[in-house]
Parts: sequence; structure tokens; C-alpha cells
Amino acid sequence: MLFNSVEFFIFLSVVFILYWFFFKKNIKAQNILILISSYIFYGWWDWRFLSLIVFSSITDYSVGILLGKTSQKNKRNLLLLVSIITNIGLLGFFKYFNFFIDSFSHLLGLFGLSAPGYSLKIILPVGISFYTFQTLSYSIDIYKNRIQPTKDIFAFLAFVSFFPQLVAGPIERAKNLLPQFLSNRKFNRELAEDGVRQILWGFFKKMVIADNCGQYVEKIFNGYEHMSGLTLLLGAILFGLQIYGDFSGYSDIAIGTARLFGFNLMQNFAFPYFSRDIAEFWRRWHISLTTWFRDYIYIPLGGSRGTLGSKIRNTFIIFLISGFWHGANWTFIAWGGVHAILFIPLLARKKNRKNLDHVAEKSKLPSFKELMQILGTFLLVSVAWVFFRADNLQQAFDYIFRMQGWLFVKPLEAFKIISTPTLYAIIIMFLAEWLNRKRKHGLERIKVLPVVFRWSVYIAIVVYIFLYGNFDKTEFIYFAF
Amino acid sequence: MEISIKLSLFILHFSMARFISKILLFFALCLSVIFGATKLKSLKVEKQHFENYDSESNLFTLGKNQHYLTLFMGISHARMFTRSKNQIRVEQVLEGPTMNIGRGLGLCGPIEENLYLKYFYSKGNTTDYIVYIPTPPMLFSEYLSTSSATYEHEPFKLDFFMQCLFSNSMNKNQKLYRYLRYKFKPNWKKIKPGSAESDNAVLPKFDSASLKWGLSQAYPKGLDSIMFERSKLEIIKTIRMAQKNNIKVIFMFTPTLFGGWPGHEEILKLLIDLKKEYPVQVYDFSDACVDINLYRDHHHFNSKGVDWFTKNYLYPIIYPDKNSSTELDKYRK
Repeated sequence: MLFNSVEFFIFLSVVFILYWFFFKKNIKAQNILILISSYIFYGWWDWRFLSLIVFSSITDYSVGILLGKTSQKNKRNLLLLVSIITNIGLLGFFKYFNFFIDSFSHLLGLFGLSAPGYSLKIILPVGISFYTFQTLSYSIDIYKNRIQPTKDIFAFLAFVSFFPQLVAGPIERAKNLLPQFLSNRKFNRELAEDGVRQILWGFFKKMVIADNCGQYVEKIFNGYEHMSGLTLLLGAILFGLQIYGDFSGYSDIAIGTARLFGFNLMQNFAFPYFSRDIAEFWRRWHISLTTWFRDYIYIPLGGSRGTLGSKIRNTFIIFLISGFWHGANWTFIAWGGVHAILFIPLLARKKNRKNLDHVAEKSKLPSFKELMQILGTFLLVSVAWVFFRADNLQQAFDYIFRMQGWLFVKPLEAFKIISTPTLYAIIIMFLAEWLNRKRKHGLERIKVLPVVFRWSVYIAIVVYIFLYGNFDKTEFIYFAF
Repeated sequence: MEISIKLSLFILHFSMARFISKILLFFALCLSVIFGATKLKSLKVEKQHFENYDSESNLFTLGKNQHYLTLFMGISHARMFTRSKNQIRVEQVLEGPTMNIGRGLGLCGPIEENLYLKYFYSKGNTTDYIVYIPTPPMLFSEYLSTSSATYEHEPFKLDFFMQCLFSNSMNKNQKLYRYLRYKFKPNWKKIKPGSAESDNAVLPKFDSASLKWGLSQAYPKGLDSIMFERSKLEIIKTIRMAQKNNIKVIFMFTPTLFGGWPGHEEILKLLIDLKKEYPVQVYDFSDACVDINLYRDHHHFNSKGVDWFTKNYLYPIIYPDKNSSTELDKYRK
């Protein structure tokens, strides 16, 4: 079920009413309702793949219980291995099987050998990269004695499959989300109202910004051989806006929806396009994934301890894995590699933790230096997005090459591609997010303004979505990951 | 303890009631603004005077409490009886007013036709006959029923919108969304009443290649049996609706230069079966005319063709008492 569908609105209303009016006195009943609703939500797409969620959840639930009962190192290692093999095995088979087979065949081909084609027609189950990471982190945290295992199976199953964040995150940690399933939820009107505001903002970003930019991006990438350098640069920037609008929009809707049920999910995007360097960008982009990699791969590898060489190695590993997580294609790995290359100079000069505060912390506007830093980072990130969007590496390099060679030829062609309402929407988005850059989402600050103004803005956003949004039920990009 | 539980429940209810009221009020305001603005935009075009032949849209001319001799239903093969002022000539031949709710341009399936018919009745309109032209792609091809542009060119009527909203129309949300949003597009403002005096186009020659291509476009998925089953139910609904309003229903296949369309036999069989159960008339004129001069393409009449068909076949069907020819029997099923 897509958030941007009528079915979801009906589903959400029914679940909301059942949750607060019929099951409010019993926390277990509420969890079971969430569990059933989440399975319906997921099964709406393809019920067959529900078995994978159930299998993954039950495995980690059992591993958790058993880990809680034993202190023997060998047994604990074995149990953790079961969890890792199950989750990474599922992910590996459904997402990467054909990639490895094809790459292996290609490698043999380079040596003049041939391998029989073993490619399978595998459908990638929606959200598999997200829920496997979520449930895996539960087992790792118990193994590391960071949390205690839960015995409440319904709470655990609901935690893994919680429908707002099931298919595209935020990838929650058991430490944050599971206790919320185990304690009483009280309806908090202010929290719920802010949730609705965040949902509205998410829809604006998804339906107006992302889906419209997506159309231009498709046009540019499909015919990039015949377009000017400036148009190609615009294409890369628009893709950056598309993926941001799409994914952060999804996260906003997910977090807002969770708030309606009394849950607090972690912030997944903290206005990354206002970052002053790549390191800051990665602290603000897809936070739930980057912190997951940090905690479960980067730090165990040694993190920022050790020699510069080991730091660089760890950084490369983390970025390449992060790229590969996004998809079984060399383009994603290259995208990760490009970010690693952009990150390493900061690491080498120990400036990767320079910008930990908010941009323009004590002023309304950024300084000239900050503005240049923001624009520079934005440009670098946009060019890197070409690898993410391209069908293959050859296309990505060709696109970037053409982008440089003919930069200022036919400048008008570039600006004719984008419609005025979309351009206004992008300006509105940046403006609203700038004003809210120290907060959780782009409409948070509005709550302190007079009611008439506030409501006028909400209605204006709805009307803007109605007039210029895309209602073709476009899937969220990150569903493919 | 009990008091505190009751108090917290009261607070929860109060808080929740306030939240739900605000959400409902917000929805109501948003809908009012959107519907109000849409109606205002629609009125700019609606206020012009349209005749049925002036537009391919139906709601410009569907009035209230009108009586017609004949109501045409179907796709373009029904619409051709109205286009290019053919309506005026058809009405002269048939000696009575007609209304056409058929929709051409690949925008309409049997479900949408039923919606128009329902709306026609809901406005207190009546007709003596329904002439339903069940061109096979209409019943077999999903793309006609799922086209999201069906209502784009219709003026905005809230009651029609609500009727569609609660219908089983395919791809309904997209249809309704485009119905509303089109009123804000620059092309909406450009809609003006107007029609050619007559359609004098003549097919230069029978072109098998072009016909083959056209048929492949008309049935992108071949003969879609699932769609046909769905269409069957809609045809039955139309008959029942007509029966309830004491209207005679005439199903007819209009002539083509290539005889029956793919799927023609299946539909004919369905109609013959329905004839046993309901008081409907069925005619198959698929191969009744091979004179290329009467066609604008391989299956649409030009104005001359419409005149010829109306005089020779439609008139005798509507007025059986005035007709002594036995030729009609050849086509009656």
C-alpha cells in the first residue's frame, strides 16, 4: 500500500479509530492491532513476501530469547551467526544473487572463460533492506548486552513490522522503538497535530517536488546525449531534489503517522542540503542508515581510532557498503566510492567533525562563507548523484563528461525544462526548511503562528498539491532498495 | 484510583474529540476551497451556450426535465449521430429531439456510459428509446474504461462528481482528479461551442494495413475476457435502468467496411441471450453498407452516411408502423 493512495487514507483512518477507541485500554491488543494492520499494509503489495518478515522476525525473537539465557561465549557467537546468516542471507538472495552471478560470469569472461547462466527471476521484496537491518540490530544489541531481550512476541513482531516505517524506514533501533511497544501509549493531541503537519509536509515534498522533478530527470537522463552541459547539470540537481523529496518526504509521512499512534521515530533527514561539507551531509542524510553502519560496522572495524591508513580503509569500506546497500549495481558502489573520496580529505585534515552545529546558528541568514560552503557541497553531492541515477557506469561517466564539456551552451534550454510551479515549490521547500533548520521538519515552527495564518498555509499546501502534485501513485524510490 | 482513570479517559476523549474535529474541519475547508475554485473555473466555460453537437462533452447540454425521442449511447459510433451537426439532420429524419451521451476519442467504457445514463435520469429527463451501439472494443478493451481523461472536458457538477465517486468506475480516482484539475489548465478556458456544418470526409480507399494497425490499437490486450464479463454486467444494468423507466432499448452494431469487429460474435450472442430475458431489440448492421463514399474511415460514417443510415434503418426501427419494408428483418436478431 502506498502512502500516496486513497487506500492508505482509508486504512489509516480505520486503524486510528480502532487503536484509540476500541483497543486503548489494552496495550497487548493495541500491539496485535498494529501487527495485523502492518501485515495488511505489507500484504497489499504482495502477501507472499509476508512469510519473509515473519521468518526474519521469529528468528531474531528466538535468537534474542536464547541469547538472554546463555552467557557462554561460543553459544552466543553461534546464535548471533544464525541471526546474521538469516537476515543477510535473505537480503543476499533476494537482492544480490543475480548481481553476484552476473559479475562472476563477467569476471570469467575477462579471462576468456564462460560460465553457464544461472540468473533467476527474483522479485525484490519491498522493504527487505530495511526490516532485515532493523531486526538484525536487535540481535546484535542483545549480543553486545546493550538491551535485554523481550518475551512479548507480539510487541516484537509489531516492532519489526510497524507499518509507517516498514518499507522505507527510518530503520529503528530496538533501544528506541521496542520500549515504546512495551509501555502504555497515551494520545497526545499536540504530538498528533504535529504529526499531521509533518505528514502534510511529506506529501508536499513527495507529490510536488519529487514526482515532478522525476519527470524532468527522466527526460534529461533518457536524452542526455543531445543536451547541453547546463541541462545535464540541472538534471543532476533535479535528481538530487527528486530523491530528497521522495525519501525525506516518505520519512516525514512515516514519522508523522507513527506520532498519530503515540510513537516517536528517529529523525531520518536533518535538512542535508544545508550542509557545509560532505561529513555534515552524511550526518544529516538518511541518519538511521548511516548511524546503523557507524554502530554496527564502522566502530567494530576500529572506527576513527588507529592510524590514518586504517581510518581511510574503514571509511572506504563503510561508503562502499552503504552504496551497495542501495542496490545491486556497480553504479551504487561507485556512488559510495565517490562520497568516500570526497570525505577522505576532511578526515585526513581532521576536519570531518568541524560542522557539528546548525548552519547560521545565531543568525537568520548564512554568512557568505557558509553560503559558498553550502553551494559547493550541494554541487558535489549533485554530481555524485549521477552515479546513483545512471543505468551503468559508462553512462554515468559519459553524462559527467558531457556536463563539463558544454557547460554554458544553450543555457535557455535548461530552464525551459522545469515548470514554473515546480520551481516555486522548490523555492518554498528550501525556504520552509531553512526557517526550520534547527527543528525536526519543515512545518514545525508554524505552530507558534496565529491560527488563521497557520490554517491558511495548510490549506494553501493542500491546494498546491492538488494543482501541481502528481497523483499517478508514483512509488517511492527507496522501495526499490 | 478509579476517579483518576475516569479523569484520564475523559481527558483522552476530550483531547481526541478536539483532534478529530480539527481534522474533519480541515478536510471540509480544503474540499470547500478546492470545489469552490473548481466550480468558479468551470463556470467561465459553462456559461456559454452549447448544443449537443457543439462539444464531445455531455454535461454542457444535459438539462433538467427534458423529454427526448432517442438517447444515443456508446462510443464514437454513437457520437457520430451528433457530431458535425449530424444531430440536426438526424432529428429532422426521426421527427423528434435526440440526446447523445456516447463518448468518443477512446475515453469511455460501459460503466461510464451507465453513469451518464444515471445522471440523465437523476435530472428528471426521459426518453422513448435508447439506441445503444455496443462497438466491441468498448466491451473488450480495458483502456477505454480506464482512461483517466474521461471527464476532463466535462463542466464541474458536484452531484455528478459524487455519483462517480460512489461508482465502480475503473481508475476512478485518477478520473475524478483529472476532472477537477483540468479546470485549472489553460486548455479548459479555450473550450468554446462550435461544430462543422457537416462531415464531408471520405475514405479514399480501403487500406488493409491501416485497418490492421487500427484494430491492434483498439485491442491492445486482444479480446480481454475479464473486461467482457465486467461489461456484461454493465449492459444488464443499463437494460434494467431503462426498464425501470419504461424505455425501449435498441442495441445495434453500425456498419463497417470490414464487417464484424473482433469480438462481435460474442457480443451478439450475449445480446441475443439478453433478448430472451429482457424486452430489448437487437440489430446487426455490421455488413449493411459497403459504399466507401459513406465512410470517413473504415468504420465511421460521414454525414452522408449518417443521413443514409438514419433514413434507411433507424427511422424504420423507431417507427415500425410507418415501415412496410422487410429489409430490416434481415438485420434483426
